[in-house]
Amino acid sequence: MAEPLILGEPSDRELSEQLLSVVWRPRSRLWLLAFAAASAGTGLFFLCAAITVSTGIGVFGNNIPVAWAFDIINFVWWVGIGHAGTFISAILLLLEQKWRTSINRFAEGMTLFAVIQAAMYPLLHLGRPWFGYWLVPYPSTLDVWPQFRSALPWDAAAIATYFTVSLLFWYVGLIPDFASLRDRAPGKARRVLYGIFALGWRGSTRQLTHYRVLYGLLAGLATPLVISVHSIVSSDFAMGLTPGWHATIFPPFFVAGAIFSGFAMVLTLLLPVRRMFGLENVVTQRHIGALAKMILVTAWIVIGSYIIEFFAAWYSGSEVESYQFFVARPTAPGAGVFWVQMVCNALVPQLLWSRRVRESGVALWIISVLVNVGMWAERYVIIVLSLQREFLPAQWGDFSPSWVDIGLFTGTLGFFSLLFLIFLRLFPFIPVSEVKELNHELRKGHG
Amino acid sequence: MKLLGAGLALAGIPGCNVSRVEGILPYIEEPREVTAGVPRFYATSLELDGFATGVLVQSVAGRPTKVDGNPDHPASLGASGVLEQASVLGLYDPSRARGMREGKEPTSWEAVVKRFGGARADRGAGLRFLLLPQSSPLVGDLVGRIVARHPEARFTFHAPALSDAPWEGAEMAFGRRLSPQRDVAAARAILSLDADFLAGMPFSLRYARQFAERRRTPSPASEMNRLYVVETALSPTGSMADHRFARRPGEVARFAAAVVAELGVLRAAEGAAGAAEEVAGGVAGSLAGGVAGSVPEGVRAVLMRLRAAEGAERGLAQAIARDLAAGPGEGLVIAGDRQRPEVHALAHLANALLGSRKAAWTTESPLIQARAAQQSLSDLVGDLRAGRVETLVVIEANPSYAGPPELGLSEAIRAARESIYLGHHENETAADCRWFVPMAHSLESWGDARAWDGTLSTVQPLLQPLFGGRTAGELLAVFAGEMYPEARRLLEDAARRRYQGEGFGRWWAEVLRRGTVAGSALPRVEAELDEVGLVEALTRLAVRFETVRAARAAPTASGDSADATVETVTDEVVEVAFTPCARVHDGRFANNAWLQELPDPVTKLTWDNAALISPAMARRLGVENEQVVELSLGGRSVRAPVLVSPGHADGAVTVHLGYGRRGAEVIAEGVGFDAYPLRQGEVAAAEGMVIRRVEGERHALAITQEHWSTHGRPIALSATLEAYRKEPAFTASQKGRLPTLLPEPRRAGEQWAMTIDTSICTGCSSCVVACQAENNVHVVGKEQVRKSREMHWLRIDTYYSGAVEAPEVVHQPMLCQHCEKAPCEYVCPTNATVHSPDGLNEMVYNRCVGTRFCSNNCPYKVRRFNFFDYPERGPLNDELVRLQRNPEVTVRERGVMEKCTYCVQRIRKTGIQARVEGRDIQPGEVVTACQQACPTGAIQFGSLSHTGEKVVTWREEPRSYAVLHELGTRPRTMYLARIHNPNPEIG
Repeated sequence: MAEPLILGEPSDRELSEQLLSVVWRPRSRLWLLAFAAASAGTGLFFLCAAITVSTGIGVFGNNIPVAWAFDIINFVWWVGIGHAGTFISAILLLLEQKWRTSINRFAEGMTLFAVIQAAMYPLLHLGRPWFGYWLVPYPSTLDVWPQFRSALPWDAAAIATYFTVSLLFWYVGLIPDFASLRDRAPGKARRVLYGIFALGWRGSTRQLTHYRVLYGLLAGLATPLVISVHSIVSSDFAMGLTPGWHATIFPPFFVAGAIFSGFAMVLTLLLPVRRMFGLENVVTQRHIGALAKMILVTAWIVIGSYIIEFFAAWYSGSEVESYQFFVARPTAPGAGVFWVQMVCNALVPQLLWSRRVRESGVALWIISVLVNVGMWAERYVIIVLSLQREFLPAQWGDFSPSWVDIGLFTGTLGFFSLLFLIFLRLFPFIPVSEVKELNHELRKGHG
Repeated sequence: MKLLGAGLALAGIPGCNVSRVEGILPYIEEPREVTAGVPRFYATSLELDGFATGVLVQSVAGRPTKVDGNPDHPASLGASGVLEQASVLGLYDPSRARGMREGKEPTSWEAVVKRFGGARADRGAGLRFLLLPQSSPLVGDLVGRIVARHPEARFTFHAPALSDAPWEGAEMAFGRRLSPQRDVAAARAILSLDADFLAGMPFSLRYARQFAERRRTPSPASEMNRLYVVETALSPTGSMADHRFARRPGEVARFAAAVVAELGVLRAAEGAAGAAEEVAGGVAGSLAGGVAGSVPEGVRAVLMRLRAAEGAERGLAQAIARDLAAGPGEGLVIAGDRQRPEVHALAHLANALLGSRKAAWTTESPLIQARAAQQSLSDLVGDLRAGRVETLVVIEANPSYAGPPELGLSEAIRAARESIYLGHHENETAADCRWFVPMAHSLESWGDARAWDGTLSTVQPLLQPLFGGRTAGELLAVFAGEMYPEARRLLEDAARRRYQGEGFGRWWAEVLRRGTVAGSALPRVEAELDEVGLVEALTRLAVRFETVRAARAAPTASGDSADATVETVTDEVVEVAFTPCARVHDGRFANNAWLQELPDPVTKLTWDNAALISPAMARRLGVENEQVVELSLGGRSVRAPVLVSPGHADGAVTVHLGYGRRGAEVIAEGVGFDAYPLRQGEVAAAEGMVIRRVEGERHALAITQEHWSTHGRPIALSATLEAYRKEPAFTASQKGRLPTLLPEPRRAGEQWAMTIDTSICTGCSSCVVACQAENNVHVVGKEQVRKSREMHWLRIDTYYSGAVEAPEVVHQPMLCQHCEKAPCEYVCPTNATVHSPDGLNEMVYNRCVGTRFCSNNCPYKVRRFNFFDYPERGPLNDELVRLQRNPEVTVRERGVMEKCTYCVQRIRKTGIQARVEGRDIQPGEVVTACQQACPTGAIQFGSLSHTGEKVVTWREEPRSYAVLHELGTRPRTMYLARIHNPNPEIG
């Protein structure tokens, strides 16, 4: 009953041709257009970053009481997106889910680029970014260590670890394909370059044995990281007293939300790329459907968390908590964002119950975008709406973003796209060797 | 004297005197009196509209850095108000005039002396002086000498914010222009007739201290005073009231008359009772116990007439009258400057009826009079317009801006053939005068002045004038014929002439050291009520009430009835109250950045003024905050943004004067609107103003507090005295130990703590400015305040409860609570905020990277962040202002968090001193800046080990509590719940 993971019965040669050719096919106009737009966005990002560093974060809309806003919203949002790749690669690998194969490299790339975007915000948002390294535990001559009770040094460590392991995992996965590229690339320069990256891969059984062990180990290492990163990010809030933050549900809630948004982002990117490069035979409806179902599952975890959050606020008997959840969020300034969150995260994914929706590329794509809008809104609600209405009403305040806030956000979208577009052109974004391996397995199964 | 001289000589050395020394000179020979890094304190006084407040000024290496009250001075008692606190910044005002000029050409003092010092052929007929009101004996001397030299010269004293009504009222009541004096501590029941006597009058600092003495309830069994306030806009005094009645300015007289009439009835009844025993006389003789004074029969009759004319609030008036009269001689009635003289006369009458000789009496006015040579402002303008003025001398006053609009002073001044202006800034009047001489700041001047009670104090400089400024005395001396007037010599000579007896030198040195002349208060004047004057004044009042009453057959536009159907109208005829601003006064302090950024004590508005209206009027007009309205009166109109003000009287608008300045002051430029054009003459209130909504026009306001309700949270607690007695432990759930799993924090040495009594906090905000001055707190400007980025370490949260028409108010000074389990500390990733063994939550600026997590996790929201490098942004914190910096406090750079430190620099300094002397820190030895400034003494600070100190005994009172106690932060700052004392007779 399961739909096929590879359509038709392509030979190894055909697969290699199809999947590797994306790297040396001439640039399309569409790609060039997208590249120009992404470059402009990247420029905007660096402009805004320069303004921020040279003038001070007063150029943001942040204030007291809303001392964190777009900076941390965007950070959490990007980190969340960065969860899908490793989840697909590592956890699904360990669970022996065959459908991960065609899309894992794609998702891993997305992860890396999203984490790069995310990592820039904590640095940029510092009052004195040039001292950002003080969050890192190193034997300083000042004889002062970071404060390990705070979530922030752990945050820095978790993200750095996650990025490193993800990068290694991604690279190790790429090695056999680099070898294929080395063997097939037109022109000597490329062959040398890809040859260096291929680290002498010959595809021998011995190499393959070692390779399998290494890949499995890395997957084992990456798996807890998927859980830990966003748990630690969530403790930036859960540790705080602030009504709306002070909740033990946060770590699982955040991890689920992260995977939710990560899968949505994979779909957002995968659907157009699959269409553009004509990859319907390797990225089949089976893949797309599985991703959609994962979104639905994580949506329900997120909905459950919402219910628990509201219940806990009421059950705490705290007027401050109740006010935050039952008055401030639905009605205070910025409440519109709360309703966007609810619609996009709780209602919209319910459409995925329908098989027809899951099979419609356009509908899926719109839903995946809305989910990411919803997840951004959720972080806005958690951060800004909570800080706006805290304990002392005399110090309640509102927030509105500055143009730099908006510029930095659009800028990271541009920078992310830029990295992604380059990735599409330099590396085979469908893991060729794995697909071929799967192809053999499937044929054997049939035979 | 030598000491002071050396202080002066020194002042030039560190580069303050820009004309002489550039660069830095080393201390090769240290002046004998000066130890590097050790601040010195000098006693001097600051004058406002003629009345002095004694201050002690801290000077560091020749730079005055901080102004505090002089405990020996009766107008200060050691406390200081916002204007005194901010005066030191005025010294370093970046817009201060820096040179003399004639026309547009620079000139010299010699040229001024040459031009104006000569003999005059016209016996001074063309010579006119326009000054602020003065109490200085030195100026009095000089005025006398000028009149002797130029007999036809005329003097005008004018200040837009100083009303003549108190003296006119005294003239009605006593036939003499006497000054009312009060001892608020002697009163058990006080009625304020539109008088902001706790924060907005000369001598307020003293009144506030006295009020607090009778207000505080150390235990539930304590007695406390009771305050009735009738006023238009909520004032600090009104916010302290047990019963506050919001009335239009014009209604206050009627209210006052009703109460005084009832007092008359009460006294008559007692008199009748007394007369039954004694021999009956023609007038009500000695009243009960012989305490109260006698009431002339004619006055009694007109009181009865007033009573008949006014009937609406008789029950209320009776209750108040009974309460005022309840204790023998313990009732006090105070009339405010905004009220017409009749109300002041009524207040005098009431105090006489109450026999409150201890609480209220009169003295001669300490203001100097030029007698025959004195001229009213309108006469001066008449002379100017008629071309009779050869030479006009304007000193400090700013009539071109603040003069009565119908007189057209700007134009009139230009009509003078020659004019010279002595002022701090190139302001509106300076622009109209041909000659300009920069005026020396008070902290650069020699002089003298009297307090409201007549106590004489000296003004002595802490440094040489930064920009070659001259004092009023020096300029007047030029006209008195002195070729080389020098303020110090003038003052000393004048004092020597007045001094009788031996040893002037020693006496004078002691006067300068202490800053005041002991026992120089004016003697009490035993004035008899003047029947004729009183009857005449009260009859006028009665006639007016009767006319109004007759006319009131048809309801007026101002909807008194609450249930009137709310229908949106575009305009309305209302009364207007003009009031000097608590921050910029009459406009002269508009260039003071601290004052501009100080949230108004009541509205929390900064960097602006607004039209204050009641919530009901806002509903009728369909306007909200920031909506622009047009105010028209007497053919003139101005546009102003609306600020809806809870507790404001309906049918009236209050506007603060002093904004919309048009001079060359850069900070004041474009701030607020000018309300002076609406004002006719010197009136403080007027009827018949039209307020009209201007569609589609808004003006952004920077308000530091937007939410005024506690939402039922136990944050700012209050109770009536009765409830407190019934249930003393009503705050018990908000204090005490909460269970914890964590180990006790490490402790060593003194344990610093603060206790604040909200019962006696008037919200006056002098602590806020004191903190700013002490701790080098940056000014951020209007745009940043609008983004809630103000930097004040100490703010005053004001909470309203009850109806918006008549809210109950609690002011809560909010500063770092120095939590024993501080939530800010454990979230800081870099250990930049840590706890000291002596209980301080410390901020290590050098270690702060600016994640702002601490602020997010501070439930009190007392942490402030440097979003920009504020000193680099414009004139607010830069240039000259840097000279004010307290060298003992780090100036924070961009990107670091900051907050109240409990004035750690003072703690450490005292600690070091104690260690050097091999002793412990003594109780009361460390005083924080806010505590020092507080007029009522509501803030107490000290170590928990000093058990006898107020900081400890207060927190042991049943009504003490910790804000957000339930969070387990264990704040070291505790509050005492506000206790009200309502009259059970009044519902």
